[in-house]
Amino acid sequence: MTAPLLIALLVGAWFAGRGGWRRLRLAALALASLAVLAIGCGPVPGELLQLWQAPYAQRPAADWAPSNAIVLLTANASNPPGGMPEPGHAGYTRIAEAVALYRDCRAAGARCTVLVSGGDARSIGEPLAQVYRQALVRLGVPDADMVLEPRSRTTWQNAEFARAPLARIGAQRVWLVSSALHLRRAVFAFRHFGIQVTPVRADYLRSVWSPLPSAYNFHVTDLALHEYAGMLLYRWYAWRHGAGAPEEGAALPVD
Amino acid sequence: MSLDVLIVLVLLGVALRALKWRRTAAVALGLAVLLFLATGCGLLPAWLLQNLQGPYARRPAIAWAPRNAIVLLGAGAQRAADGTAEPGEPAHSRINEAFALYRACKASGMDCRLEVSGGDARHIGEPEAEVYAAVLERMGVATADLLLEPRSMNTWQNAQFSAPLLRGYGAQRVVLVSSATHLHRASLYFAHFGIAATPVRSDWLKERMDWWPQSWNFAVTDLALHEYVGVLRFHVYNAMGWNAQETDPGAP
Repeated sequence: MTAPLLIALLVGAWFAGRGGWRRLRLAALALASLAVLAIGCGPVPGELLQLWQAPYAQRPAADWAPSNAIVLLTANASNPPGGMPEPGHAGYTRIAEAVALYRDCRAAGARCTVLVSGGDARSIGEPLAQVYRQALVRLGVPDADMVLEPRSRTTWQNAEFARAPLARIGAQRVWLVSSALHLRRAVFAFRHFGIQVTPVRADYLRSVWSPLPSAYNFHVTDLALHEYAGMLLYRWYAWRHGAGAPEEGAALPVD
Repeated sequence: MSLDVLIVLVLLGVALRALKWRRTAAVALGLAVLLFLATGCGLLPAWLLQNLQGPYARRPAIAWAPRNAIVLLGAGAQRAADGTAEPGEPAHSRINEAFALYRACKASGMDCRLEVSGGDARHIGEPEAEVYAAVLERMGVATADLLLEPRSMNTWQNAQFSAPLLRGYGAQRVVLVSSATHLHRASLYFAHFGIAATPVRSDWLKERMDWWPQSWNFAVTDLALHEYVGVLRFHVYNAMGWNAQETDPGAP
């Protein structure tokens, strides 16, 4: 979203110059330079990330119910040549957090099921839930304690399609694992479908302070803007679907 | 780095126009647009990543020796809101891979150590080695199996300070775990300090091919360029005899 903004400003400046509107051209160029510095050097992404992630910075206390579900929201995947699809760079922290939670839960003597949620949203020929399941097995989570939800293609569907498997698992407490940046939208979607969750953040993104504009800062700005826009969209979804009313028959635990 | 090049080209173009060198200015600005599109739409990062990662695409099957060391290279750490230190976001692929290898090694019944190499490179008041070790223990690595190298501030020092530690343990097989883009440079440095390691990639980065420029593509281009520059510097320093002393693999 930052690239289109800059391109629009530069193209605007060019047209203004052609039209002989020198003031307008100067304004557009100044705005573009300011945006490059404010985003690239770190202040804008710093604020955007902080504002969105802060509520999830602290992980919740681990008070396990006798029976728990740990919902792992899958991120991206990558498809290296000559190999099997595997989790992408954005997924590893979520996987690590889910494994650590699972181990803590077992160590506390509670019952835990990991619900791995994600369909083939990246068109890699395999549902993300299946790809992430393999990574979890390698890290010691037994197959018997995992349930897959291999249909969802969006966060909204992650929540929508989680209801049935969660009801089957019958957990008294649902822990929702995702990136701090993603949790606000994810929690909103789960609540909309009547699922009370305890959010647990995996990664917490930071911008970098850089005297020269850094591409990384543009990237995290785009990630943040995606979440801000996505939240607006989800508020509209929720309004259209009838605010927050879970459908009848959603026999789900509320704690 | 990619943005700096673009900014320099644009400023150059503007300056040349002011000097009425219209042809040269057009070349500089045209080059900037071309580079912007080649990077942003994914062509340049695709090529850069392929060269770096390609040789490590397939994870090797490891034949565990009686004494094994799995070397995990640090990738940053940060302070969380509650003041505790935690690995940075790019570190978790490496931590997960090292842990999976450790589990496989332990399952073979051989002797296994997990060496975590990383000092306080981000100045958070705690070395990466200790921060990662806490995570690994939580995942299930036995404390006695952890070897910590808490001094290195960069990849060069990762190799330099790990080498004596690995020799001290008497590792017969060393498995080097890092991001696919980082493995070429890291292997080069470890070999330089006399450690013949089996590289295993932890992740696989992909460019995002798109008609529309993507900020992600600029970020991975920078990441790749950092590796190219590091490798180039290594070879130049070697040619000039500026690198710290070299040891052949297998030498005492």
